[in-house]
Amino acid sequence: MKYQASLPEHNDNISHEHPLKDFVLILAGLSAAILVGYLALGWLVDVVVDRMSPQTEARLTQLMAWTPPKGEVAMRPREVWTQALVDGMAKCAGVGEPVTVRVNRSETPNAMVAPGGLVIVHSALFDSVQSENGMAFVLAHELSHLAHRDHVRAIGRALVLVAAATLLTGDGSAAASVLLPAQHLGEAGYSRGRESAADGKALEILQCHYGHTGGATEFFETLQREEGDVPAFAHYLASHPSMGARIAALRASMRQAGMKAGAVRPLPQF
Amino acid sequence: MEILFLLAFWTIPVVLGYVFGRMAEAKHYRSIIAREKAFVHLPATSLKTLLGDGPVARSELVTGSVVISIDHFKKAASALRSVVGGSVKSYESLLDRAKREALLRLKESCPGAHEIVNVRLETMALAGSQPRQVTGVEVLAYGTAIYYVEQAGAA
Repeated sequence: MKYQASLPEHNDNISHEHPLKDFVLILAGLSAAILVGYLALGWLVDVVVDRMSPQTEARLTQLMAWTPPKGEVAMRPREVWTQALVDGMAKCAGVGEPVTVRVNRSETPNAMVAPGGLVIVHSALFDSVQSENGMAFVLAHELSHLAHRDHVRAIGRALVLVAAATLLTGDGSAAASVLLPAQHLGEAGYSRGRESAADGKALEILQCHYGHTGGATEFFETLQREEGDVPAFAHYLASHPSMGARIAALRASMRQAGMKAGAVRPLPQF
Repeated sequence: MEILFLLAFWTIPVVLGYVFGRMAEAKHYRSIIAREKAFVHLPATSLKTLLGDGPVARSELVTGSVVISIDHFKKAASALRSVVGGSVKSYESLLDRAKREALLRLKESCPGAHEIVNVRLETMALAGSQPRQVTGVEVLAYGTAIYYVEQAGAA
């Protein structure tokens, strides 16, 4: 038999379809699956947290409670004043457990809540509100996170998600990082909803504590002035709703519930 | 804001990989096809025996090797494939190019030979800095180039 050198007419060793087709199909399918899985698992976590008894919550909280950081002497007067304000609102917020306030020196106006009933207030927050009521709204917002067990939910979601992602794609695999954006979108959406709910509850706390909701939008208005306008698409990616949207939502629910903005109390000089 | 950075870190390498990877691949295939036509007169077979039957003047070991990098688009596509299974189409063309290029370089290394026998191909993955990470492939082609005694008047 004579060997005849020739070139094949077709290259059968490669796929001839467009490389993007495969990529887009799998990416869209998996991202959708992750979003759906995220919603379903998140819903399950919410169901469990809603039905959790106060005893179980206390036990869980003990497991993950933060030790309060050492307070600064210069921040002591602010801490005492804020602590009294928080204690006064605890009943209205429906928070039964003791809450500890810490004021940290920081340039970023912010407040956060940590497991174990710890409310951390950044000192710059005192410059971002004009009245006691304005400060009370921010604290009430943090108290509603506590009352709504948002920290338990957040940790529950994180645990479930990490477990699911690891089971699905293997630990530290490239697929996990490729699918990261989809996961983040789901989380951001959930977080925005949680923040809006806390804003609404904070209004009720203000109404219950002061008898009116004056000063509720002070902090957001300051932030809005400082931040300026952000592009609209950023909203979908952010963990918190935009300031404009939060102010508008607050005003709308005040109108709806017939809450009035009364005279605000002055903020003490520290 | 950090999600924007995350998205950018995710998207930019994949888009760059797609654009430049496609360009490089198309250019490479054009070159491969043209050179294969030019070298079709030089048979390279996996046979252990010779195709020709004249006296052999000399024979030598010849090699041709190539290293081709994986781009981020191919890597992301294969990472997605690894979840659902199936053929990794993004790597098929990569390895196809590498094998053909290695064989071409093998032939180009001995343009005066009459044939190459006992051709073998070896494929190696080049590991990156992280475990199980692959950054490129090397394909090595080797064989024995045969030079027959030139006979006056022979075809």
